[in-house]
Amino acid sequence: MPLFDNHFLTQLEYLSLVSRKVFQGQLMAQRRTTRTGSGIEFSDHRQYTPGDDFRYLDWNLYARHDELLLKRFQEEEDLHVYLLLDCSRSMSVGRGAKFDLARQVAAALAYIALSDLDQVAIYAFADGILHNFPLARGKGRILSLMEWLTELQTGGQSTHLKALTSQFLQPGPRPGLALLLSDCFDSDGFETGLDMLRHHRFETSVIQLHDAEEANPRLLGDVELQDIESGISRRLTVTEASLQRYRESFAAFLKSLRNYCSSHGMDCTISTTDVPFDQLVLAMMRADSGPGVAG
Amino acid sequence: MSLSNPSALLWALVAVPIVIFYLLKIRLRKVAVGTTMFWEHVFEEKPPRAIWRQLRYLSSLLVQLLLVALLVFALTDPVINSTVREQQRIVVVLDTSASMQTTNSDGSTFLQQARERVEQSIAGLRNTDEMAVVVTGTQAQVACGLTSHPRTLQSALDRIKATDGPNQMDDAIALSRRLLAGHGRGQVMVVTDGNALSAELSGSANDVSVLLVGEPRDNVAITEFQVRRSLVDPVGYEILLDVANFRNQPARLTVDLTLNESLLDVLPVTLQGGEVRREILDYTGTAGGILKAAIAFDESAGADTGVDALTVDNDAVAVLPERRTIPVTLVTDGNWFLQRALEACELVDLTVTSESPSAVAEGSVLVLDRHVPNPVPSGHVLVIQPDVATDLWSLNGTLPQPLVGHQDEGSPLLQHVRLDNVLMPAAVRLLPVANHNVLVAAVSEDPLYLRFARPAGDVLVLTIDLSQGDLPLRTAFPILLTNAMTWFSGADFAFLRALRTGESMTVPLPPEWQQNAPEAPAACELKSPSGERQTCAVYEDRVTIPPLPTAGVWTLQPEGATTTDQIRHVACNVSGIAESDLRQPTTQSSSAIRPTTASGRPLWFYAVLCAGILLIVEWFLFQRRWIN
Repeated sequence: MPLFDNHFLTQLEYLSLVSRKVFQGQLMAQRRTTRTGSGIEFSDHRQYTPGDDFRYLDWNLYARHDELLLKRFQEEEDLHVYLLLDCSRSMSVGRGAKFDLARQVAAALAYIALSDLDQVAIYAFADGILHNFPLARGKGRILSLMEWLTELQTGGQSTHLKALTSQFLQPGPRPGLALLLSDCFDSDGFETGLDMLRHHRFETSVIQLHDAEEANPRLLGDVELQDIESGISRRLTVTEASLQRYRESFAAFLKSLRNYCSSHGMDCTISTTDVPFDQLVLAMMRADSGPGVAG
Repeated sequence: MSLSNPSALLWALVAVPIVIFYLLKIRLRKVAVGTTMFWEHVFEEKPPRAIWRQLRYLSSLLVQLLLVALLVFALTDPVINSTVREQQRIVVVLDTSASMQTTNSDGSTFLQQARERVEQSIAGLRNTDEMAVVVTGTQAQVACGLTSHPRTLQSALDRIKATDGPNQMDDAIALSRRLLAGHGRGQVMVVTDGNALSAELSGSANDVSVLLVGEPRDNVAITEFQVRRSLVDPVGYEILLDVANFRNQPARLTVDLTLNESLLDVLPVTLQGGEVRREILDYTGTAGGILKAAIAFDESAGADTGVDALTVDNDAVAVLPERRTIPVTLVTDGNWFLQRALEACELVDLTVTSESPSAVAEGSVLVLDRHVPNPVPSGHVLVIQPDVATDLWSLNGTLPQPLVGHQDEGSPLLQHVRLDNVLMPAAVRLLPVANHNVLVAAVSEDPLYLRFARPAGDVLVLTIDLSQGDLPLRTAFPILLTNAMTWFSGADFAFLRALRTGESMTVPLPPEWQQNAPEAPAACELKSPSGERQTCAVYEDRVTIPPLPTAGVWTLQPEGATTTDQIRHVACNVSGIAESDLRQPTTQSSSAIRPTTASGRPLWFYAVLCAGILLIVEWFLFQRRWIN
């Protein structure tokens, strides 16, 4: 079954219409960023974290409540949308459903952005950037973009977000919207990579995808677990008790990701692969004003 | 140790696929996962012990192989050689005589107590031991042959019931020894209440041990009960009653006598401790039926209660024959002795005539003095000194000075009659030509008194010349005539005495069974008071009644009879003093049988038990539940 069929394109158009209705009346580009910038319209406050620009601290509030809060303004600009697509081997778990969903979501978001006259670039990464689709504007590029996504394969080594962001930021791209589509299974942690994006004033959204089997594996007895990315094998005797601890550990990982995004003003969408891409995108748009969770 | 089924060792080949499966199993199932970092977190918290993790697969295999080995071991049915050498064969002789129905003070019977003791012995059997059960009530018989299967023994034990019969302990011991013949370690275990033990058992033979059950109990019993028609009074009858007090204190009681459920008499009896009272009672009446004696403890009459632990011997029965008047027609030219002898018999309704009738009415008797028509009329006929030949005999002159050479002692026709010393100057020499039975024969083997059995009626012929001898002057003559009249009336069988349980007797068939049939029945059917039927053998017009196990009134009739008019009653009472005396036995329990314990289970049982435990262990090993 092709990744992007006619039905998929129909759904893309529907999603584009929905996004226009949601973000009606925007200046310049029809997408309004929520990051602090040169905009004049106050948006909201958020907690101060080291590295934030002191100029945007709300000193009045600090004087009244002894609390460091950062004022946020909606920046009105031509938005650059960067889709960071995880192509590591862990995305091929579950017969590739995770990678397929990631590519479909990437295509959908790119279509919406191109429809809104935003510029879109896609970076396929694992332990670094493997391939990239350069910045493009206009709906006319959507077909070549989908063709590029179709030919994309998983590969590389293990997921390494820090290496990704280092390579991504090295040319000094213009800040914009960075959408990370990944399972975030980074053994070094996802925080460093996301911090770097945040410090470079990228409005970051995280879309964490995982297979239902990863959240709730049905393994029992003696098994040899093989890490599909690193190739390292591990012999285990899986019991109900260890399964329970695994579920707790996985849930704690998702919770830490959600908390991180929430505390740093990032959108966070967590979904399993059995959720259709259109529902996932709609859930993201509904949660646009704040972190959201689907699936 | 030896293996009873060594071919079962082939099952050890099952270990081969187990090893193969084990080798396949240790090649772990590979599962590709996106990351192992969560699993590492899990096992960083509780790392499995590495040494055990290395050993657990091997230990699992070893447990499985041990499991197979134990099962194969069990299938081979191993036997320890020393156990085989010590194999025991025990024959339990269980007393089921009447006294075992005695109740203990706690309400249980001696037999229930004995059964519990045998059950304990069954439970203690080892797998190689064998046991048989022999019962001694009425007749010694094997209730269960030698077997080592406890359930078979238990089933046989459950079927055993107490009888009213005597204790045939000697026969049971002999039967048990025959069962044990050829087995060196055979033992006989007698479980009894101790009544009527033989001297051999009291002396405790080496291969016999006695296990006594029950406790000394007081008892009052009817130990003898008989009835007979009076020899001097044709309408009278005599009752013999023995009542015994088997306790040390006096006993006051009453004995109720009933005839056909109608109260005949109530006898108050006071017995001293250990006394046996014999009463001979005379009553008059022609009616017959079932006479019953029952001990009653009537408190209002001052009778004692609570002195009787065995109830089966409180009742006794007897069969009283009915006296019926017989119409007799005497055809004679004048025989004063014969006429007077017949007139003296109170059963006879005599008619004297000189003309012989052509036929005899049913139920009546024709007595022909010399003048006999040819053919002899049908019906019951008594012929005295025939003077002409008939269809049944021919005549061959006179037999001078006949001497009695043979007399059928067992025939009821000659009951209480002796003709040895009777002077008989002459007799008719008679040559029978029809089926006959010689009752009295001369030395020359010429018949002096004979019977012709006809379908139309019996013919008795007395060839002696009454006018010359002294037979009419002897007491034997009226008795001979009375026997003949009784025979024709069919009442002789009714004189059958009351049997004791366990006693057998051979009696002549009732005459009417033969009179109305061309041949005697081939067998008879005997029915117990509870309705159980059995067949009795008939040989030469006599029926043998086997030892009866139950007291009460039994019925006897020809096999296949469809009517009830041929039923005859047979009375049977408890065997007597030996079963009714329940006082302290003279013997003590011996312990010749080595006590066995419940630990004597076969080796395969323990092997299977261990295999079961290992199966549980392996299940835990497989599930690895305890690792975490």
